[in-house]
Amino acid sequence: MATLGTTARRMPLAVPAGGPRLGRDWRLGYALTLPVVLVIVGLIAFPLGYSVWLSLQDIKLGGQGTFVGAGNYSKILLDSTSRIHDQFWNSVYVTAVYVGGALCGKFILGMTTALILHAQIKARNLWRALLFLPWSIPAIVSSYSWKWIYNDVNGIFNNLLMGYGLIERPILFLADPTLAVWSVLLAVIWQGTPFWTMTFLAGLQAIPHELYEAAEIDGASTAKSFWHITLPNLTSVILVTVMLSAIFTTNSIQYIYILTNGGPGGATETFPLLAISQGLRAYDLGIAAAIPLLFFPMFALFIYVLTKRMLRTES
Amino acid sequence: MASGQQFSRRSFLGVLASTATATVVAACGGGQAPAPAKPPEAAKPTEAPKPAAPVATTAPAAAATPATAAKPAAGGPVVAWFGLDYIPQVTQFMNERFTAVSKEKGFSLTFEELPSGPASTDKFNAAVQAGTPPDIYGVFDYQTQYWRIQGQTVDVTDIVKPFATQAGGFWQPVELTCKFQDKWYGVPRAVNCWPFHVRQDLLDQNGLKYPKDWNEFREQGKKLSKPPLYHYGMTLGRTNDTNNHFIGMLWTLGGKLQNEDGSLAVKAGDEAWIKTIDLLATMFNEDKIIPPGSVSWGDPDNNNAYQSEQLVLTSNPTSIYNWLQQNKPELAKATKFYSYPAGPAGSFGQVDVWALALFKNGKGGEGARVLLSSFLDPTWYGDYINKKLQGRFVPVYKDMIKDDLWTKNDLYTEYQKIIETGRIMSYGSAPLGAISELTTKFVIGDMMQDVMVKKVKPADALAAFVKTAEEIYNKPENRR
Amino acid sequence: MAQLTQAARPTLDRPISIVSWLSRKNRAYYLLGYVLLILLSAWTIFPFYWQIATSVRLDVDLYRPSVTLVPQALTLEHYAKVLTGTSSQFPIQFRNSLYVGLGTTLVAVVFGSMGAYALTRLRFFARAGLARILVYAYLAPASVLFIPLFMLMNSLNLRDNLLGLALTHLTFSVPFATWMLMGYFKTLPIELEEAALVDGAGRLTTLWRIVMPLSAPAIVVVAVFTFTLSWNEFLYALVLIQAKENMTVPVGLTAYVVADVFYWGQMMAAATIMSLPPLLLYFFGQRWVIAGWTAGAVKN
Repeated sequence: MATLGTTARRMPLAVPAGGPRLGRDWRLGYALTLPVVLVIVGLIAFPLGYSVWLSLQDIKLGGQGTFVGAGNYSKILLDSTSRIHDQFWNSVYVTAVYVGGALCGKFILGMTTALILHAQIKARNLWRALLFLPWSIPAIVSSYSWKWIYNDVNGIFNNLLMGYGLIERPILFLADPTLAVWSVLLAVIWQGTPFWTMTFLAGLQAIPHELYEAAEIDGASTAKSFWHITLPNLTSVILVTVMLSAIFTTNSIQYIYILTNGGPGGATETFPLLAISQGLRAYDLGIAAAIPLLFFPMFALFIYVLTKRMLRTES
Repeated sequence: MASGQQFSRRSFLGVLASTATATVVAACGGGQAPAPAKPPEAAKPTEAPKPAAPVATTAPAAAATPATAAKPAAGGPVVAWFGLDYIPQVTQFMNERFTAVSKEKGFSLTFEELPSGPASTDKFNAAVQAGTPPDIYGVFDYQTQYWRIQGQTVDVTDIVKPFATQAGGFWQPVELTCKFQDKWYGVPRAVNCWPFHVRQDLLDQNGLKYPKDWNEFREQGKKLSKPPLYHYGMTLGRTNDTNNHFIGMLWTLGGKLQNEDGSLAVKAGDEAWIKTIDLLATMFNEDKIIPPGSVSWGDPDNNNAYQSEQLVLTSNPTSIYNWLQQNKPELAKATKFYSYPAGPAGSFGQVDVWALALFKNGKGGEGARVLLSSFLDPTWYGDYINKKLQGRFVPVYKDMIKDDLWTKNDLYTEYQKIIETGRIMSYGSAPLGAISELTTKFVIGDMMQDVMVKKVKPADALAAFVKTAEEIYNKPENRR
Repeated sequence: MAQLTQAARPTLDRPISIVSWLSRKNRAYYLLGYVLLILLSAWTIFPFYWQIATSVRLDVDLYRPSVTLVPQALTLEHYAKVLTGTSSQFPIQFRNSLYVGLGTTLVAVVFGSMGAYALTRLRFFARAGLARILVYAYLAPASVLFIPLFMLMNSLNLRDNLLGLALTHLTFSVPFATWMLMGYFKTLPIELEEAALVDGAGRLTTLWRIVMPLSAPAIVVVAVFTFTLSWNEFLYALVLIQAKENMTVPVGLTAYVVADVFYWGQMMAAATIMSLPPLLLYFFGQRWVIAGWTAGAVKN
C-alpha cells in the first residue's frame, strides 16, 4: 500500500545553510511574511488593546468608565447572583452545540458534494456554480428569507406540511426551544457548506491521479482509497478549513440574530450574540469587550493544537 | 536560470506589490494613508502584470472619489443624523426645513438619513465613542437622559424655553422625558402613540364591541381565535415591543415601573405585577388567544401578523396602519384605533416621546442651535405634524391636538383618550439611567421568556426580574 | 523539469475520472452520486428560489394567511425601482463594492501567496509564531472590534473613505487568504520544487513557475471567497462610510428594511442582483483555470 508520494517527501534540500539562529532562509522568509504580519498587527493591535482596556472597566458607551480590574471577569465567571453569569454559561453550552453541529454538518455535506463534483459529470460547471450560490447571497438577506420560510403562520415549510396534511398545527421552528437550535443550524449549514465544498474540491484536484490508478491496480476498494489516499492528502486543507470555519461560524451572528435573536429563552444565544445584546446594545462596553476575550485563550489553544502538525517543517 | 533573472523576478514581485498598493493609495487623492510596509526593491521596469491586475488597480484610481473626510472648518457644516422612519416624509420634510433655514442663515448642512435597524445605532455609537458625533441626532425615550448622563449632550434650555409657553405648552410626558432638574436636554420632536390596531370588521361581524375590561377581552378572544387567526398580538420576545406591551397592561392592573423619586417601584411578590404575568400566562397557555410563535417575535413580527390577517388586535405605533393604507386599503378601512381595555386601575394610553439632542462634540457650532429653534416654530411645526404627516405623530404642543385632523376624523376618536391619559414607560418619573439599562437589556423580555418558554412560575419569574432590576437600579451611575 | 511537471500534474478535468472509474466497479456509486447531487441542489436552490420568487411578486402577496409557492402575479417593478429609481444609489454602490472587493482580493491573494509560500516552504526564526499571529488576529469578532477600528480610521483621516474600508477588510481577508493557501501549498508534493532548486532555480522562480501554476484552482477559490467576503461585508461598511457616493451595496440593501416595515420585493431584488458578481466570478474563474491549464499543458 505504500505507493508513491510518501518517499520523495523526505529528500533533504541540497541548498547550503545560511544564518543558523535566524533560520536558513531568513532574508527571504521575512521579506515575504513581515509585510503581511505587520499590516495585520498594525490594524488589529490598537483595537484589541482597546478592547482589553474596556474589559477592565465598568464603562458605559459615551461616558467615563471606572476601573474595576478583573471585576467584569469575576462577575461573569463566578458571581452566581448576577444574571450575566447564568447567561454566560448558557452561552458556552449553546456555542459548543452550535459550532460543533455546524462543523459536522458542513464537513459531511461539503465532502460529499466535493467528491461528487470532482467526478466527470455533465454540466459540471453549472452544478458547481449552483452549489456556490448560498455563499454568494449576502447573509443579511438570506437570513430574512429563512426567517420567512420558517414562519409559523405563513411560512412555506408549514404551509407545505399542512397543505399535504402531514401535520395539523404549524411547527414552531423558531419558537420551540428544542427545535430552535436545529432550525438555525440548518440555515447556517446551508449558507456555509459551499465554502467547504469548494475548498475540498480544489484540494481534490491537486491529488495526482496516478495514486488512484495504482490503488485500483492493487485492488483497493472505493472506501479504502478514500481513506488511504484522499484523506491523507487533504489533511492540511481539512485542518485549515476546520479552523477558519470554526472561527467564522462562531463569530458570525447574522443568522441567529435575525432568526431567533438568541431566544427562545436563550436556547440559541451564543457568546458573541450575548456580548452584543447584553453589552453593546445595552451600552455596557465593559461586558461587550469581556465576553469575547474570555474565549480567546480557549480558541488560541484550539488553534495551536490544530496547526501543530501542519506547521512542522518537512525536513 | 541565471541569477540575473532571479533578481528581476524578485524585484518584479516587489514592484507589482508596490504598484498595487500605490494605486489604491493614489485612488484616494493622497491624504495620510498608511502605506503598508513593502520591500521596495530597485525600480525595475514592470513586466505585463497578470490579467486581473490592470482592471483592479486602475479602476480604483479612476473613479473612487476621495470622499469629504469630514475635516471641519471653523464652525463647519452642521451634521444631522436621523434614522429613516417607515414614512419617509418624516425625515424628508425635516431635511427641507433644515436646508432652507441653513441656506437663509448662511451655513452649510449635512443631513443624513440612516437606514433603520440596530446597525445604524452601532454606527452612531461608534461615532460618539470616537468623539465625532453629529451635531443633531434623533433620540428615543430613554436615550434623551442617557446621553445627558454620559455628558455627551448640551443643555438646550435657552432654545426650548421660549416655546414652552406657546400653543398651549408641552404635554406632561414631553416635559418628563426631556427635562432634568428644570433644564431641557432634548428639543421635543414628537409624541409617538401606541394605539391598539383593531379589526373592527371582525368585531362587527360577531356583534361585539371593543372589550371594556380584561374579562371581556378574554371572552372575545376565545370566541374569535381560530388558528391561524389569533386574537391578541402580544409580543413576548426579547425585544422593544415586549417592554411596551407589558408595561401598558401593567398600568391597567395598578402597577408601575418607577416611583416618583425614580426608584424601582416593584418588589418580589408585588400583586399587580404577578396579576399581570398571570393574566398573560393564562392567555398564552390556556385561552390560547396569543399566537404561540410570539415568544420569538422581534419588533416587525406583530406588524407582519396583523398585516397577514392573523391577528384581531395588537398594540403598535401606526406603522401597521400606514402599511395597510398603501398595500391593503380595505383592511385599513376595517381597522380602528383603541386604547387599552380597562383593568381595576383604569385604562391608560401609552406614548413615548421623541426628541432632538444637541451633541457637545459636534463641530457645527451655532448653526445647530438655529436649526433646532427653527424646528420648534409653532407655525412650521403645526403644519409639519398635522398637515404633512397626517397622524403619524401627536404634536408636542397641547393646542395642536384640536386640529381638524384629530377631532373630525373617525379614525382618531379614541386617540384623544390615549393622549389625555398618556403615560411613558418610565411612569411615575422621568426615564433616567436605570431605565435605559433595563429596557436595552430586555429584562422584561427575559421575564416573559422565563414564564412562557421555561415554564417558570410567575412569582419566581418576578423574583428573578426584581433581583436583576435591583442590581441595575443600585448602580450609582444609574441614579443620575 | 518539464517532465516532472508533466508526470505529477494533478488531474483537473481529464477523461478518466473518479466516477467513471467507480462505475466500472460499481454502478451503485454512480447512481448514488447523481441522486445525492439532485437532492443537494434542490436543498441549496430552494431558499434562493424563494428569494427570486419574492423579488418578482407583489409585496402584498406575501401577507396572506397562507403563501403560495409560485407567485400569483409577476412583476418587475422591484428590479426597476432598485436599478433606476431617482433615490436609488444602487449603481454607485455597486461600483464602490466592486472597487473595495477587487482591491482587497488582489492584496490578500498576492500577499497571501507570498506569505503562504514562505510559511510552508522556508525555514526561519518564529515562522510558526508568525503564522499563528495571523490567525489570532482573526479571532476577535467584528462586533467587538468595529468601534476601536472606527476610532483608528478616524485618527488616520480615513473615515468615510473607500481606502479605509478596504483596510478594514484586509483584517479578515489577509489571514484568511494566507492560511487557505498554506493549506493548499502543503498538499503539493515538494519534490518538484526540490528538483527545480537542485537545477539552480531561485526560490521566487520556484514560487512563480511551479507552485502557483500547480495551485491555480486553489488560488481561484481563495480569490473568489475573499472577494465574496468583502463584497457581502456589512458592518464596517455601514460604520465607516457616510457620504452617499461612497456607500457599498450591503449598506444600500438595509435601506429596504425601514423600522418594522419590510420592502421585501425591493430587498430581494437587490439581493439577487448582488449575489451575481461572486457567482460570475466563480463561474468564470473556474473556466479560466481550466483554459489556462490546457494551454499550459500544450506548452510544456
